[in-house]
Amino acid sequence: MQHKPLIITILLNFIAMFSATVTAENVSAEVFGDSVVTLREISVSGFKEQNKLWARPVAAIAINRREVEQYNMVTMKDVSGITPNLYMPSYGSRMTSSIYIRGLGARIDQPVMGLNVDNVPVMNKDNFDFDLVDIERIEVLRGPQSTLFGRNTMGGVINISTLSPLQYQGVRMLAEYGRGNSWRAAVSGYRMFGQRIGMSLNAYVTSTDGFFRNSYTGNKIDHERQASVRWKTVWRPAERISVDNAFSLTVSRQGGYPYASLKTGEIAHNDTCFYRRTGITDGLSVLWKGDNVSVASSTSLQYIDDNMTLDQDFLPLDYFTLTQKRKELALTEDVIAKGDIGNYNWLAGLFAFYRHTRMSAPVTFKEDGIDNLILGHRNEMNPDFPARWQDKSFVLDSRFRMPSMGVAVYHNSRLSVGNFEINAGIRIDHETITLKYINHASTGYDTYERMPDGSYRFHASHPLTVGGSGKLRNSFTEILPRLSLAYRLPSMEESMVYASVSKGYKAGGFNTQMFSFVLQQDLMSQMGMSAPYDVDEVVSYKPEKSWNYEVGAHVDLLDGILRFDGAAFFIDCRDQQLTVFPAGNTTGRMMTNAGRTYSRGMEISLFAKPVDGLRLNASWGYTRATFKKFSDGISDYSGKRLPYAPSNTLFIGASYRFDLLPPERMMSLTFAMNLRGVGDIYWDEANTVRQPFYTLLGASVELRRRNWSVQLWGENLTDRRYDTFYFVSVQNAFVQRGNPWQAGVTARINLDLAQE
Amino acid sequence: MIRLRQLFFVLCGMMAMVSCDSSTDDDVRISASEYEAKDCFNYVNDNGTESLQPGAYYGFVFDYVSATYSIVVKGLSDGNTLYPDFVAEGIKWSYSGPWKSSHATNVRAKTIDGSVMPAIMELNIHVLDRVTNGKLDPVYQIDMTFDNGVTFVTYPVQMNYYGTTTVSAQGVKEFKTKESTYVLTIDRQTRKATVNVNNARFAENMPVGMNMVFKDIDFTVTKKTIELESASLIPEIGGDPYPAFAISQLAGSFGLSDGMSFDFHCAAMGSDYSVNVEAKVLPQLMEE
Repeated sequence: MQHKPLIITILLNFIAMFSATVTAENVSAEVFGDSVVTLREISVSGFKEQNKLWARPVAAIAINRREVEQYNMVTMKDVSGITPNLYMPSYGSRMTSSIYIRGLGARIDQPVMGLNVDNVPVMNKDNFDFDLVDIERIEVLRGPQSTLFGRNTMGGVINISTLSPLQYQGVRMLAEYGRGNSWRAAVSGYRMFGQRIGMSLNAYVTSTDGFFRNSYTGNKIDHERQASVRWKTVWRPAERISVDNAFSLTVSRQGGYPYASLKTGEIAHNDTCFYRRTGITDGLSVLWKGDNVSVASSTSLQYIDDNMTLDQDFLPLDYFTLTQKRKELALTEDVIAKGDIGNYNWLAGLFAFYRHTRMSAPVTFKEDGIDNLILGHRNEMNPDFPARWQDKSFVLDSRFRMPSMGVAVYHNSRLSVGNFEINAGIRIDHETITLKYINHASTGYDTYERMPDGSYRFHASHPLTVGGSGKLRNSFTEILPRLSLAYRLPSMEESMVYASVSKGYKAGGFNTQMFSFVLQQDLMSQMGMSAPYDVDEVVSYKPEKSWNYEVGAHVDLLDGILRFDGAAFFIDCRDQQLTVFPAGNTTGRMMTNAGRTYSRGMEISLFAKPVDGLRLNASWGYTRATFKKFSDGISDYSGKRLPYAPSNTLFIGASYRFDLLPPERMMSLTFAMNLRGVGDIYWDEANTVRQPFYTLLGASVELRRRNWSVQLWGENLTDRRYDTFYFVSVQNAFVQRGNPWQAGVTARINLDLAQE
Repeated sequence: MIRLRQLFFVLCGMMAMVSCDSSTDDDVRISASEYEAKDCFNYVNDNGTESLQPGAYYGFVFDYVSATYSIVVKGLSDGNTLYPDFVAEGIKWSYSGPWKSSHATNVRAKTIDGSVMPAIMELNIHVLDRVTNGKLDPVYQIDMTFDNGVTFVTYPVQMNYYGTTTVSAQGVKEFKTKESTYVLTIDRQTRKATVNVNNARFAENMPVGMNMVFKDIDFTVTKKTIELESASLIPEIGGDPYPAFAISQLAGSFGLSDGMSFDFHCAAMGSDYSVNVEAKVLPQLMEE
């Protein structure tokens, strides 16, 4: 492989830069992960929370570094299955980050959960899926977090923190190899330069040949290469001031879209499919901590440059292809102040963002698409004057610019009275989104007259030119309140019962993927066979709003040996954003607002460490999400289950650590197993197609020494066949199969830097 | 110190300025509209001899306070004689539903150039202030009879209709739709009519939006309606003939203030569909 020398050089330089003072004598022991590592510095996401996670009236789960390594978690999608009622299926490409939680979710455009990585609110859902190394902690907060986190946190928030140089100094290395010729390598250096400034730098590469083969080309289709660099700086210029900056650059190149025909079971595309993305993110946080008041500022800049090219019919035929190229720049600023006066704590904030997207998305109609989707129907209706297209292919060209901006003010008050705690918050959120579009298509067809002797005589030529330009604008203003009442259980630390009501909000917007559909309809209209669509009506979708009612409990028993978390919820969602495929002979996905949906369910999480070395985890989520009222103008789906959201999620995990040497010499062997379950999932609004409940078995064995570990791991060890995605396009049904069994080995080296 | 004379002229000027600014009340009591010659044609009955002539120019000014209107007519021709341009004023009108209507006899008109013209024995108008796609799109119905025995009936070259299409076929449940619209276009020179059927649907499961064109239809004109008739024709869709949708037994009566009634059969894909349309020139009128 041609990159090997480069990788080795980078590795050696890292080791030289960050481990100059590492010696065998003064290596200190790494803390084993039996407890959650508490951050010494405060992240802005953590700054917004006025309590520790378990002391908050919210359904939440926290995953520490040890668990991240044990379950081989590298992306936010990996928390799916561990977190009750959270489902993030892996399908398509890195661009498809569909999130479903408690029955809420959508496949395109706005997400139902927010993602913060090292203080940076990731603005675009298409950028949610990327690998991270040295994850320190993952928090998943379920239920609307809109009051503090604003737009698109209607289902919750995922906060990911990576390791900080203030916490750890040294060099960390990772090497992994697994089935499918899949490998990962990472090297990270963490160092303090003096007492007040620390830096970390990590580099990461990964590659896989994939698991699914395109039977048309004979090649693997879901191959991927990804590389990233992250540079963190933490600076404490004064006792009360901290400044953190996190910069990252990620480049990924993948095949993707291994959609198999439901009829044949085969993946067979004849046109190219790939997804390429370059992402740059920088987040700067400044925190000033006073005696009773603290103020924080978080600024981020996010840039994406990506290209999604698809064989959009996913068939070994020439229907149409899509190339969507996008450049997007986003800026965010969040200023928060908080303080306390006795038993009263307050928090106030101001948030603003600006985002500018420039995109082109031409769809190329090819021979089979022209014949079957346009001419087929037309010639069937008029066999006496059949038509023949003048070109073998033509382009429906669309270009867009989408500037959007928003501003919000928010406040939260918390009052403790005895064992009771009341939280009340409100957010006023305003957002304006503009879509400027230009689209164009120019082509034509000839018609022939069928003669009595069976021959054909040229009749007429019909040039077709469609398109235009325009501008659409929508503004949304939302008031997002939250109220909760909690009761701390006496004599039980970090235990409480609570009830809460809160409003959630998912922004409206424009579905640009529908423009090719609009142009196609314009063409058909000029042929006299259809009516043109109103652009605003087809492309625009409204915000989705919900009221979430929840009761729950966090109970810590036997001094942390047993921990129980439970919640029951009811969500009344209006104008739920649903992705539907337009009826008829076309492709593309249309966002529509359903009338009203109800979602009710419950979640239970258990954690136990009955004896030293033994850890047991279990979580179960149940959701019954149905349409209260939804008709697409043809069918009434009232009472049907919402598609794509699973009714059950299940996770059972167990690990046991054998100490092979006395603890001070640190050598252990850990056996772990886990079972993840998901389902049933209905794939359509009519509930005619579904994925039944299925389970996936994983296991690992890890030998750990003072500063290295080797882990053998396996996923889906029973090679369970299951589907993660289903759709119908151009009257053909497709599925994406879940990954087959995998196994591999991961080696880690941690060289702790000596104290200077 | 200002002298009294200077003060007087200042005050007059101020009063003049104030009176010039307070003119807008008159605008809402009067509305003016024009009916261009290119947008209409005239059916002429010259003592029993019928012909179709180019349209004339009609300028209307309606006074809502006095309930009278004035009309300017330019370029009126019966095919033999070009009538002088003339104006008639002070003619009473009233509302008949949404239409501004007037029936006047022995109308006093004067020519603009002072020449002699036949006297107007009868002048009838119906004007509908229709708004289409946000723009004023009036509908005019005018007929006038002169004392020389010549009658002019003015029709728009193009008339749009909105209404209910009822489709029935053997063995199929009757289907009604309000999505189809109809446009009648008259070609005075070829003496043929064209009917555009937009969003044509003949059955529940038929996709919306077939735009059918019925061409070269024979028509006759009466004082109130344009009558269409065709034993059979091949419609066009997208500029091509569609024999599989052959039209037969076509008959229609297209009026303005009275609306339209239109019937035909369509042999769509081997089945015979009987189609009846009842429509008006304004969608809202169908709700009445």
